[in-house]
Amino acid sequence: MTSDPRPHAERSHDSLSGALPAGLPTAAAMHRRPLAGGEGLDLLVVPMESPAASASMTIDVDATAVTVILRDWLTAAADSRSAVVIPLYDCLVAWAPGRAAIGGPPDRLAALEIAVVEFATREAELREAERRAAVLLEAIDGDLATDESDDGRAREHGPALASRYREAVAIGRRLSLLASAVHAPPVHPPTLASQVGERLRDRTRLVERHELARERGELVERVAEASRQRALELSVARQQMGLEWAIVVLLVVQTAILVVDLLSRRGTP
Amino acid sequence: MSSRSPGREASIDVLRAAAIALMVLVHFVENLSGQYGGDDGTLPGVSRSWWLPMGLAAPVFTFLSGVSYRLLCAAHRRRGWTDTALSKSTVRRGFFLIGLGFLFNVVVWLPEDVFNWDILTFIGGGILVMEVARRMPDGVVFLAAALVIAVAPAMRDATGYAEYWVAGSYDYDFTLADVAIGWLVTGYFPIFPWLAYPLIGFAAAPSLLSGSWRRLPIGIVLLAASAMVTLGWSALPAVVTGGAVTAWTMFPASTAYVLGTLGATWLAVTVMHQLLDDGDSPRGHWLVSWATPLSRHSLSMYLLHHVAHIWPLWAYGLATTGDARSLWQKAIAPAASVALAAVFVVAAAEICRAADRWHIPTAESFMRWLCD
Repeated sequence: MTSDPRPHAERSHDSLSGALPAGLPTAAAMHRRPLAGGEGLDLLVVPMESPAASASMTIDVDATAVTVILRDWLTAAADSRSAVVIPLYDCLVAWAPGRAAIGGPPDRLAALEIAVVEFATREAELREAERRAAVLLEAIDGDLATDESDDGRAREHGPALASRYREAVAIGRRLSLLASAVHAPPVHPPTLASQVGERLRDRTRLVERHELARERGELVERVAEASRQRALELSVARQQMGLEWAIVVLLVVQTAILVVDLLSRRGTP
Repeated sequence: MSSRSPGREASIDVLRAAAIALMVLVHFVENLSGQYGGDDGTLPGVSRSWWLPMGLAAPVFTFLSGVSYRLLCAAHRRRGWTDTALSKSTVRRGFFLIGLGFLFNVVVWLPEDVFNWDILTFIGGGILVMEVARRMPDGVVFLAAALVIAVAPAMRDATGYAEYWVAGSYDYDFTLADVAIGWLVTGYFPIFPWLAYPLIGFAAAPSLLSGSWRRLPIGIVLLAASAMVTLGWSALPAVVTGGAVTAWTMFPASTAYVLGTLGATWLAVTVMHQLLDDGDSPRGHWLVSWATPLSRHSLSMYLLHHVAHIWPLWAYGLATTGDARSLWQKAIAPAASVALAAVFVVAAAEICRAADRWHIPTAESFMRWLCD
């Protein structure tokens, strides 16, 4: 524990969401990394000696204690089911939405940090797409009701339907861009960072979630497109109806003039 | 204002109550004192400029019938009424008012005036037209109203409107042609141009009650158009003036009169809505609490005020001269008529309040029972 973690701490950007958990080595530091969608990642960096470098402590004992501390720290801010802890080659990686911790020999921390931040960025993007798709799914019932409702309601919902369609397309685009990273094959020869990334991807079921989000996005896009088309048809029908009613009104007034003219002539010789 | 029904606009109640009060004043003065102390056969509205605002009562009342119908449609939809149920109720209401109008004419104005096409039969017909208008886009309804205003003078010119009016009163023969022409053009409140008021009220209601001042200039434009027509009256052809000499007349409703009263009503609704419909305004509280019962029972008050001053007039005339109509417009001095009208309005407000308090059946409750 002699290594100075300052280089990581100096890269801190924004205000942190909490204090350092108790029981960690004094060299531990926390900093915040910005992710996609305005989200941030509180990254806890815990330098630890390997067994070869320090005879006075065993990494197994320390790792167990640190694992418990880090898991508690993660679950304090997120659902415990979504927290993932991965011990790997004298290192420790822990992650939950919005928080992550890395522990290990100082010379490996930089690689671990890159792998965790890269994973967290992808996961945040996917989570944001999942959230937006879920919101749109909620609105599908309203869209279907609009399809069957009267003209006035469709007129009110027209802009919302168009906005929903644009949102569905944007979600699909984002998921497509994410696909290459989520479905990337394992790196050969494997590195510490690539293995951390792959294990995090497997443990968080990133591939399955991506598939499900794509299916949802496609469903929402299909429904939004159909609803928008229906609203457009109603709008065109409304304009045609206006023209037809205008002709009817003109004919009625013309008929009234004719009737008045005929009736007023009846009395004249 | 806590007792107000949801969706009921305080401004509409105040304006309708004001229209009823004006109508009571007009009818008392014109029916009891129109020719008192003279035999020139002219009504106050024709000969005195200070009497001009009284001409607003019927336009406001008919305009508000359109606004109220729009609010009623929205309220029924909120309650889950189907389109068919709304149509049936509307048609029943229309025919109820037409039937009540004929009955009122026979009972109050005596049988020879059954087809004088007074305001009740007009509003009944207007409701039937609005049943069609509610299916049209608002722009088409405005177009229909504009056409109704535009062709009315030409129709009056074609029918010889003046021939149906003798000494300020509508006089017709019991022929199908005269009755039909009376309904369309020559009666007291004919379809042309009076239908424009409920149609415009119906189509403009969402804009007027949107809580914005943005539509205010339309009222000013209508008033300006009325002033321009009035100023250029002598230069306009007969197809536009309807052969009338005076620009501003209520019978017939000249183009200047229609535009002017539409503009004034438009401004009144906009301003009153801004002042009274914010829900918490203490400024309008006493006014609203006074006006709401009167507005809620406006139909009953319309019937009652006629009975209150016309029946005694007929009875006294019959008793003293043997002719029921002998004292019409000559019974008492105008000042006494004004005083009687004021007493009636105060009494009417209390009667309406009592009707609400004791759940006394009124014309409105009977209409709702029959039609809804």
